[in-house]
Amino acid sequence: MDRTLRLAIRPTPGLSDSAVGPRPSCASDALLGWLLLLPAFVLVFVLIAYPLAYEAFLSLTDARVEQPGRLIWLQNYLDLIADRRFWGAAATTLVYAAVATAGKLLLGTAMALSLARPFPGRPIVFVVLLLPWLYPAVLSATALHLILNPIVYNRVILPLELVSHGLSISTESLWPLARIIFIDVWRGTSFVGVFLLVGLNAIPSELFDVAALEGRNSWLVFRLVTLPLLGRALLLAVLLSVGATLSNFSNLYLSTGGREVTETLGSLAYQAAITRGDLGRAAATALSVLPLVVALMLALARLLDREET
Amino acid sequence: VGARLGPGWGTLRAATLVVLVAFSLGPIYWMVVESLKDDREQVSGAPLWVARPTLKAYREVLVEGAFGRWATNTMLVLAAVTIVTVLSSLLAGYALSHLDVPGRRRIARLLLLSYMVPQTLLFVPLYLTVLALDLENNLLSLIVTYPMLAIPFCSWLFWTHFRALPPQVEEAAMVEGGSRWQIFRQILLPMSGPVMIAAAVFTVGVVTSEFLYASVFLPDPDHQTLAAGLGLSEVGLDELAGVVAGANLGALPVVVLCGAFAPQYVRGLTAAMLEGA
Repeated sequence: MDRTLRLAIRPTPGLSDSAVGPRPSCASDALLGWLLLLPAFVLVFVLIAYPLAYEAFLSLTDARVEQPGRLIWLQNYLDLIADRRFWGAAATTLVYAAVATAGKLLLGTAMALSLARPFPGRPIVFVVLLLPWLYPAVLSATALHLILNPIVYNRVILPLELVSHGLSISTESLWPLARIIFIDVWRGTSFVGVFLLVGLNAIPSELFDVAALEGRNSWLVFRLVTLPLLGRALLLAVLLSVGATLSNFSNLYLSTGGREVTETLGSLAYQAAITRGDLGRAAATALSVLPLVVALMLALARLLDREET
Repeated sequence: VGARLGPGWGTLRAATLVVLVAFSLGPIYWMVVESLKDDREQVSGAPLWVARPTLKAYREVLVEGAFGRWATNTMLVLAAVTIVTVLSSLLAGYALSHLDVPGRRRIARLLLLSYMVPQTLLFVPLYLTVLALDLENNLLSLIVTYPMLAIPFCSWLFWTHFRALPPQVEEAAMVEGGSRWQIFRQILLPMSGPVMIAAAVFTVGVVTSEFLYASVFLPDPDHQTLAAGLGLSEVGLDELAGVVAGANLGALPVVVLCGAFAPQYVRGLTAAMLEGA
């Protein structure tokens, strides 16, 4: 893909400057470029950088909604480290992001592979598989929470109680996390599947023919041809899906009816800020995800770089 | 990939598809069934079946309550955010692919990666800023913050799309004395239809799944969007059908509209992803 880029920058041979007329100078070129970038920059980078700096400052104070607060340095962070609920929420966040992403990738790959070649009725099946993503997530999470809860309690957890009290308790405590993972995977599979399908479409079909001629078996074809070429799409799918999962507070809040039986770092921050008005603590809690986010961004940047060369 | 790989794979593929279709439709089936129940069946009926389907819940949603206002607010936010996002992503993608901005590769990369910044990270300072600017309960607070969620991916779409266009076409136009603006308007823009649709569909998908900002910035039920309004309402067991019916009603136009554009969505994504192959 670098080739296209270089071709675009390099003046075509044989086309001298006089034939094209004076090309706009690089300085004015760059100026126009910055100008066109301005809206996106302001709406993305400024809206991330400014709140981030503000939040870093807040986290060092004991500010509350009704009072500005004073500097208490790292006290909020020390309180967090000592808080067992914080560590529980951190663990839940990690498990949730990891399991949901793995589930979406697995089912999404299955969806892409089975849709890759034409068959009668494929367009209809495609739209049906796209439905979970098209159904607005806030609405589906609200509705599914309200529906699934009574079903699972009445049909699964109560009958288990008759079998074994311990089993029913452990099912009941696992259920909230399972529920948010289920709703997230349900919607995410749809998105990841389309993404990978597009990636598969970009694989030239001659490669499959060559592999078949060489007598490779299908697993080898998948491993040697499909998987490496899908790499770029897979990477992007991971990026988009982890991003969506980490910010998926709505799913958690809505699918527990706001009672937050399961706590993640996001819901702890929400509780501190909105329920208790403790802004300093909320800021510190929210910022605790930052190392994870930055690490993931760096890892993906490196993978994207390697994949592009 | 299956058909080429022998009969066993064909069966496996069919089985996979059946499972996936059931997985996709199951929850939607529940939501439809639930919304058709009357008061008695909501409490004591079967979970997966409705004996006496009724549209009562839909009628009530449409007549009583704030549904109409919430839907109007949602539409306003959706339209404004989609226009702002697609336009600023289009400009950014063009600038990064066609103009000599120093470090443009890095900028494009950074823009894409900023998609991973979660909303939960920033809502506290954003909320305080919204309060300071007196934008609480004002839809503008969402219209300004939502593009941040979609621009990273959309500007990346336009960037890869514009980079992949064959440069000869533009060079030919330049030889004929076409200005930058003419080339953009007459060549690049007409070739970007599917990518614009893909960006718009993606934006709608992201915006309709946002709850945190909506619920924090718009606490007053009179000014809420569907997401905040339905998400924050207290629901008794016998009012379930109403909420689910509201969700279905709110989802229907989005599903139909985006579903109709599904082929273009795929074509647009493909146009941006093919580059590289």
